[in-house]
Amino acid sequence: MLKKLYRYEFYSLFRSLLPIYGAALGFALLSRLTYLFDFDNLAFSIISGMVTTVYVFSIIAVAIIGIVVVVVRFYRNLLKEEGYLTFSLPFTPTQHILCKLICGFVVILLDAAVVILSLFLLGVGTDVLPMLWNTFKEMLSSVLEYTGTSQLIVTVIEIALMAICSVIQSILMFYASIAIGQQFKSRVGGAVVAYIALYAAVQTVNSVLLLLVTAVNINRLEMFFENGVQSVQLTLLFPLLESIVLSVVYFCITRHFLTQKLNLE
Amino acid sequence: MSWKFTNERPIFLQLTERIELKIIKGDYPPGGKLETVRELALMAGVNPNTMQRALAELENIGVLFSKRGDGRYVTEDSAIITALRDRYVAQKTQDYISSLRELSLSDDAILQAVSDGLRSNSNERKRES
Amino acid sequence: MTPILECKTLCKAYKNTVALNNVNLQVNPGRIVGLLGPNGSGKTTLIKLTNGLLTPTMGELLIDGKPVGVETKKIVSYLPDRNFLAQWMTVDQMVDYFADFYEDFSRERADGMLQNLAIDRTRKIKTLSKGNQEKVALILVMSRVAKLYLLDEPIAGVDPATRDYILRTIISNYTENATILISTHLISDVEQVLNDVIFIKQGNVVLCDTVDNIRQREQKSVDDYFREVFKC
Repeated sequence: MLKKLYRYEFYSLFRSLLPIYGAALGFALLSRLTYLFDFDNLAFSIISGMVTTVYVFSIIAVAIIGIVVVVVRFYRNLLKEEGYLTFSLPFTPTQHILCKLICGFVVILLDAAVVILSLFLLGVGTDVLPMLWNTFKEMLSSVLEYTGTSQLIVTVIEIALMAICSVIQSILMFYASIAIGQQFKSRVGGAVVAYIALYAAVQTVNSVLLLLVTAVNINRLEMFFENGVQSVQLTLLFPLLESIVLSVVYFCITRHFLTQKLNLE
Repeated sequence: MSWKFTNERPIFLQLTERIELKIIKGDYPPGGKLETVRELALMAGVNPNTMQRALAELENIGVLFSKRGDGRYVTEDSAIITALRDRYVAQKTQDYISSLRELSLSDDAILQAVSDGLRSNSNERKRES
Repeated sequence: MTPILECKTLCKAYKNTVALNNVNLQVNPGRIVGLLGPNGSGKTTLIKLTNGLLTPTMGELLIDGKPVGVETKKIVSYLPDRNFLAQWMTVDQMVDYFADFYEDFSRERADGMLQNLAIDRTRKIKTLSKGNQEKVALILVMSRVAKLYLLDEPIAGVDPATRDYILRTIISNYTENATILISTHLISDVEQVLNDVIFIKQGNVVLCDTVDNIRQREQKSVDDYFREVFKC
């Protein structure tokens, strides 16, 4: 049964996203095709320029609309009229939030994948791709020389985790703001205010933490860093931990407001 | 849809009267089968429970009987149906008389009114046919 | 017999109003019950609490002996007082949706009723007229073989023909062990369909009785009696 909840969630998200994905990839391909011909023709170069411009816009659209669709879906499906239907289903609010979060996360990943894929399409058959590949190999070997394989793997995992957690954290921050916002007369206004308030709170806490760390005496911390790699790893650990803590906090806020203080229109 | 009901009395009582009248008129002949509770409830636009109660009441006084698993039937006992009719006629007559009594009419005046009424009613009928 | 719905000292307070005040109530299975009260008396609040859309401030609410949750949502079929269908889905998709999530959903019932309604099932909900949207919503809700139906103002703001359609649909889908709770302020329209009535006034349950008892005792219809109790 829970599987069906995810199926409907993906269906409703991709219903609006697939056309945009298709457009982005399509224009990438089209744009690449126009480079194949090298007519010395004003009209052709105008068209070719236009195609590329549209492609750039469609890529921007993919990047923005992904998160917009995820956020709007959360608001509409849980807190507008449809919420009466959703919350009458035999699931707990926690299951609903988790479902929305996981599907939202997948959408953001796909957004990134589409952008990368379209860039790849754009570069296919040109000398840009081999060039990039060579540069990457050179970079990798020089970094490896400095860090050693095991340390590099640890760092890469850390960076990947951080990316994942920060995506989850930003999705949940939207959810928490919306959940708080529905308490107010103007739900959207309330959500915007809540978002700003959450943002300000996090920034304040960050500043205080930074001050504290400085106060502890930065010199003493440096003793722990045997080399640069570990220093990078340790520095990355803080934002990672912060992302995890914030995600949990946002999740609890969302859950609290959707269970104890649900206020459907 | 639905039958009309008066305000001041329980609906199940009005349902029993309505079905009795249908039996008296012969809409449901002796030994005839009734619709199911749900169908009757839909016809009357009432709660099936209420219809059930009305039918049970009619069964109690022997106007209806049920065959196991085969619905409800009107009694074949003509004495019961005659009694129903007599009671109905008596009731209507009483209602009529008491409404005229309120105007302090004498017995003769009431009789006169009835025979006048009968005459004009049958004249009208002749004209129609 | 376990009551299908039981409230024990149930209270619900919003920021600055008390919507339900110490409600004690038992509704038995197999009844069609009218939840009657003027606008703002707490009818919708009670129904939302029963369906888990609100959490009680105090007290307890049991459905078939169980606290409100996933298990009770499986046996409660709820029609809110607004259009709650996913506007972007087609009628067919909406039927699938109900069939996917409610084990007690009867496609047979839904198909029969939709056929009678004669609407194009491939059309999106948002393209249907308001009246047809309401009918489709009612059909979906009544196509579940639930133990408790919660119908919040199902006949408010509809024309007389639609009202008849709605009442007929309710009667014809009613089974003996199901309970239907209908909230409304239009009593004369539903009176003959009801077994029991609950009068609710400013968050308090002031009366809980059968329609027949009220008519017998008061020598008047529930509608007239309601006007007397709630005289302004």
